Amino acid sequence: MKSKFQFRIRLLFLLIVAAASVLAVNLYIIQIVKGETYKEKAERQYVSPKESIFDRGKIYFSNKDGTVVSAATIKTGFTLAISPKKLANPEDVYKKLKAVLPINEAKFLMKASKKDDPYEELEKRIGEEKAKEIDSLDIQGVELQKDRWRVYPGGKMAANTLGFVGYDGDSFSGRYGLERYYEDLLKRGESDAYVNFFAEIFSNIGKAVSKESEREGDIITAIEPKVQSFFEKELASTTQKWNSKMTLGIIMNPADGEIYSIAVNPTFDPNTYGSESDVKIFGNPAVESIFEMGSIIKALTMAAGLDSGSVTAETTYNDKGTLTLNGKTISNYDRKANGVISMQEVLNKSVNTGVAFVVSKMGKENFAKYMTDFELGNETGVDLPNEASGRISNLKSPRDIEYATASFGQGIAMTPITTARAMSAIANGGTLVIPHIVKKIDYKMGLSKNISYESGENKRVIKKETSEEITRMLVKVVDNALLEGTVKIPNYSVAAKTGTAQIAKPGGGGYYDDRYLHSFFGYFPAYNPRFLIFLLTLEPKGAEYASNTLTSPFMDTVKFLINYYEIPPDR
Amino acid sequence: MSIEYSERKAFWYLALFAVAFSGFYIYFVNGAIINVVERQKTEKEIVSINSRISDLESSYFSLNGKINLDYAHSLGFVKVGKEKYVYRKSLSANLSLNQLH
Repeated sequence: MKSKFQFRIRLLFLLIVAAASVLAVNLYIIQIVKGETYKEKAERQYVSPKESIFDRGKIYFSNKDGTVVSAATIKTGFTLAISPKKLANPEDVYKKLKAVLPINEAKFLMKASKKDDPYEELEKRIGEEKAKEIDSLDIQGVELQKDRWRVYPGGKMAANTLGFVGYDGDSFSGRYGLERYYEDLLKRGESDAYVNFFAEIFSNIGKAVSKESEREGDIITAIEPKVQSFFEKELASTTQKWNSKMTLGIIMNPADGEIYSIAVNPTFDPNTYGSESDVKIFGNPAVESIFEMGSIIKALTMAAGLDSGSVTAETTYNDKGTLTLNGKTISNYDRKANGVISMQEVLNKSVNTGVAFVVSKMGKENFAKYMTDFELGNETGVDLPNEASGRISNLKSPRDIEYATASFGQGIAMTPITTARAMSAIANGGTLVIPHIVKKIDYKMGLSKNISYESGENKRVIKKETSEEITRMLVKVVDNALLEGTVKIPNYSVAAKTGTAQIAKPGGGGYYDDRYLHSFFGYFPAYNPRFLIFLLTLEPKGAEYASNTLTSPFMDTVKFLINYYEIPPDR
Repeated sequence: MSIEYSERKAFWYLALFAVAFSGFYIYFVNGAIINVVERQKTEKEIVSINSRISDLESSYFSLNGKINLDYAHSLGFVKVGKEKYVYRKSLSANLSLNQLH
């Protein structure tokens, strides 16, 4: 019995030793004998990333029919590299590679000559087909590594709004625009495409309960690509025609704050941002820069005057052309006196002393309260980074002159987005909306969230009746006064106001005599507006007033939107 | 005698459980492997399709950019000379209360 038992144990022991020996010998053959061969074979497989593969959430534009198209996405390709010490005949290799890809010969030979170097990158972002061709050449010392990178299919389209991803110190993250604002949503954890197969089976359990992946998602903006493209072309031709330093524009829905387009010219291509010499071009002046807006602010002043009951459209006053307050004189743009005129004519002729009269009627504190209620000095909360606050400290001054200049948009400065938001209030019935670009978030987990900015929560700044009255006055400005009423559209009511502002010298010391900012805002269909357009061009040459430079891009945009959105006539 | 019988019974039960659990284990691990392989395959396909889509979107944008007024004119389109609109009278003007007799 005992000997039988011992025999069994010995047999089992021998079997185990034999199996272990087989494994050890096999391991020796794989690792030591054929080690180099297998290593090379593995290295030459083009799925051998040197680091974790880049991944990031997408950003979409929304077409008017609700379909989406990528504004920022991920592209897959390969990086071509050589291992100089393994290259047998660099000239021969160069000839073979050149047949597939245009490679600079001098650069190739210089890199190939670094014989001690195990790795030199030749070309990045090679497409899949070219990579397959190179792989099929089977050249020793030539490696292809899988790579992914961010692409912006629209090129320059909405570049200042989208931003781009780049290195900030050691971290590769969203640097400007939406890429930066929504970094938490768009960034992705380490890619798992190359995790050990069996490790992945179990690591997924952790992933399913991870909080971080819950916040990963794609964002869908309200930016309409055709509107954006049209608007950018309009602004580019304005910049070119008037040799402006910069032109920008915003198209938004004044009722809910949805932004269909923010366009800036000059702009950049986020696919090749490295080629830009001045980093200032990457910013978005529509939210990051403040300007003295000039006469478009008269619409706000008049709305405040009407709302407080201090004036009506028919109220008259005697315009003497100039007004002296606290020892300083302000005058009309043409320095002419208009005599006895109504408030409607004050807007039609953009009379500076006329809006100063409105302030004197309503009292400067009351005027300051209205301007503060329009939140000209605050951020709007738009979903873009680095939003600037306005500078409206003149509205706390004890001197009357500061309030008089503020009434026509000088001495106070604000961002274009703040201005567009305040103008939306006079267009939409009197409430302040929150301007926003993103309207929906699709979470990676499968859920999606519509971003809603309820109008019930919006702050009321003027009465509904005031909004209707100021709209009626601004429609008359377009119908009767803007370029002498030549641009009015017979079947559509359009409300608008132009502005020409002097530009303050940096650090104080007054205004430049020869530098102006032209601004323009308008909305339509005026009594139930769907679109508010804001335009601004900085330092245009060869034209004195905004009516000369910006009327044409404004009316062209209005006509485009009427056609594109098939808006029915309203009169 | 009864103890030996119970031990044998317990042994067979345990053996049965062991075989059953081994079966389940193999089945589920196999399922997990198949799913992971499928998922990896699908992910690779998604990545490759996404890449292709981004190429198509680039060409879509560049083709879109070429559509302008000049291009429309070259195709023979002309601006509508005089636009005419059809209006419908407001219904409320025609409403009247039915009078009961």
